[in-house]
Amino acid sequence: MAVGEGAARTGAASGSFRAPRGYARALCRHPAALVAHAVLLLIVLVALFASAYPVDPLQQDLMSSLMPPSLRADPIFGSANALPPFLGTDSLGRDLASRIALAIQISFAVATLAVGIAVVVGVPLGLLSGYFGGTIDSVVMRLVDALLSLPFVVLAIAVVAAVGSGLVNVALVLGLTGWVTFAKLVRAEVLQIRESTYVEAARATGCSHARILVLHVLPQTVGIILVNATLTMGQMIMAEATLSFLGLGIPLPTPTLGGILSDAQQTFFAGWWIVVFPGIALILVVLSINVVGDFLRDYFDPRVRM
Amino acid sequence: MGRFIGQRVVQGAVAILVVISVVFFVLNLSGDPIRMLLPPTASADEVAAMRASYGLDRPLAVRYAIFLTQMTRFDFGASIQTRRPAIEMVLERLPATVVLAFSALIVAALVGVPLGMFSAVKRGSPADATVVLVSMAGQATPVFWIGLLLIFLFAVVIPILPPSGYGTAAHLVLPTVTIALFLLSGVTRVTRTATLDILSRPFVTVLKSKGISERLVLFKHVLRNAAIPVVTQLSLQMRFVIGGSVVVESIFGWPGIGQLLAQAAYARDYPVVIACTFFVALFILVFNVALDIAYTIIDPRIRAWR
Repeated sequence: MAVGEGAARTGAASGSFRAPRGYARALCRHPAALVAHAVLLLIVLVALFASAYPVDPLQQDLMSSLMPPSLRADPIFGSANALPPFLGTDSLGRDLASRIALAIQISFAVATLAVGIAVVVGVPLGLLSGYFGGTIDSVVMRLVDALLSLPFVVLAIAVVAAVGSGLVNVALVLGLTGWVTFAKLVRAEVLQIRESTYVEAARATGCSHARILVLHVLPQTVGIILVNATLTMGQMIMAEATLSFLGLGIPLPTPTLGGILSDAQQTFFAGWWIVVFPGIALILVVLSINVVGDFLRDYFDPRVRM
Repeated sequence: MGRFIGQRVVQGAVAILVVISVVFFVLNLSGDPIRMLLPPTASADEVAAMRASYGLDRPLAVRYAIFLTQMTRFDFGASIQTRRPAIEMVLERLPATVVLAFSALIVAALVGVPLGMFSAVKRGSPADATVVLVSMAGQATPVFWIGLLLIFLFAVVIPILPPSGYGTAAHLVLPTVTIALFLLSGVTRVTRTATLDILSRPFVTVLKSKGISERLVLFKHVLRNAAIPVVTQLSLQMRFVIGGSVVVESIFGWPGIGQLLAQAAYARDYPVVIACTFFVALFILVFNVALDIAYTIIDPRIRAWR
């Protein structure tokens, strides 16, 4: 009974995965989503192999300070480096391309950690809150509503003031302020799942609450968790960049997209490339994540599904 | 009607209390600002004396109780940096933030609402596709990058506007445009969706079949009905306005609460951080309650229900 109902749900409502072939077919019908997947894949590869880039992102060289982008090997720059500065150099003569690549890696590391923390905190709270209702529900929801009433950045800044900056701290702050959307969305899902007949059947056969929650309710929320994790990932990358831009994120000399742009603020009168390229990198990262997230949402949402 | 507004005020007050308590506990559990104020050579006695002078030697529960009683008098304590009352510092910066927030919101609404309607009416056309694409990209664009580019274009390349500062109308232009551009994509998308929804309603078909001109249908009937979801969205946008203004104020040297918050967080000036957070939450609450009242003016149906 429980199994049959579960299978029926998979076909009809939001929740569990469908065959990967269906995903590929749906992707082919959305050219924009297809491009976004490709761009995102490329960006993830850049992030993974950033340290393999043959130019040192931290190597300062005042002789080659503020060099414009060029594809030709420069006699000054080229003597020390294997590649020309094809995105230019910053005011300290550091290669912008390798700095941006490493910064993307750091963005992904922070955002992944932050989303992980947000899922670990938000999903159980949403499950408990939706399943049991009552006091725990009203306490969690008051907290969620309160935290959602403030701008995310303001909240993150207030908490960073407490715990201090640094890679792990920033991830912690973003995770501990970003769990609210997970709790809210999972709770809303669980409120519906709780009433379904297969949950009732599981309860009638004597399953414990813990077993029902983990084996029968949680799998049905995977879709919404995955969609929100993707969309939150973009938000986290943007938030980390904002904090680093304000000097409250990951401290120097670690390159971050926000940090590079903050540096650029002082010197961009001398060269447009220091502002333009890191910004475009950040936009591409967040935009491709958002488009992929929107696609996933449509894919998992039965009302939009064709 | 009065009861409805009353409920919203109580809900908002609870939200503010929860937020402020969260910030208070995070700040108090995470470290000791005293160490940062004294030279590293300070003796244990000096540290203890300093701690006592800020009341930090008492148990957490006592400090929380004192904090709550002080809150009722809007007393957030003295700034650790300047020794002035935190409330004073926040209040003198409030007008700058309010001016910036409202001018940005108005500009975004004046451009975004017509653009969204235009896009909805021309649904499927190249113009519509462009608007959708650009607003999608806009949502992935960091607000500080927009700010830097605008400074570069209008203060460096074509020096017609001051890059930073406060006082004259010219100083207001770049920060306002930056936040407005940041908001524009959201406003446009929402207006487009709301207008499309109304355009598909049967009453629009009836009006058109009666021979009423497209223009009259659009401006008299569609716009009025689309106004409600659009206004709802504008109220949600206030969070982004304030979130954006934290960054924008820092870039443009705009002496508002956002800049103060970023500076205070950097210096770990706890009383000022709490006071800023409180006023941001309060400002958003007041704005939202004002909008709830505005609804009853826009939509007579709400007046009838309550």
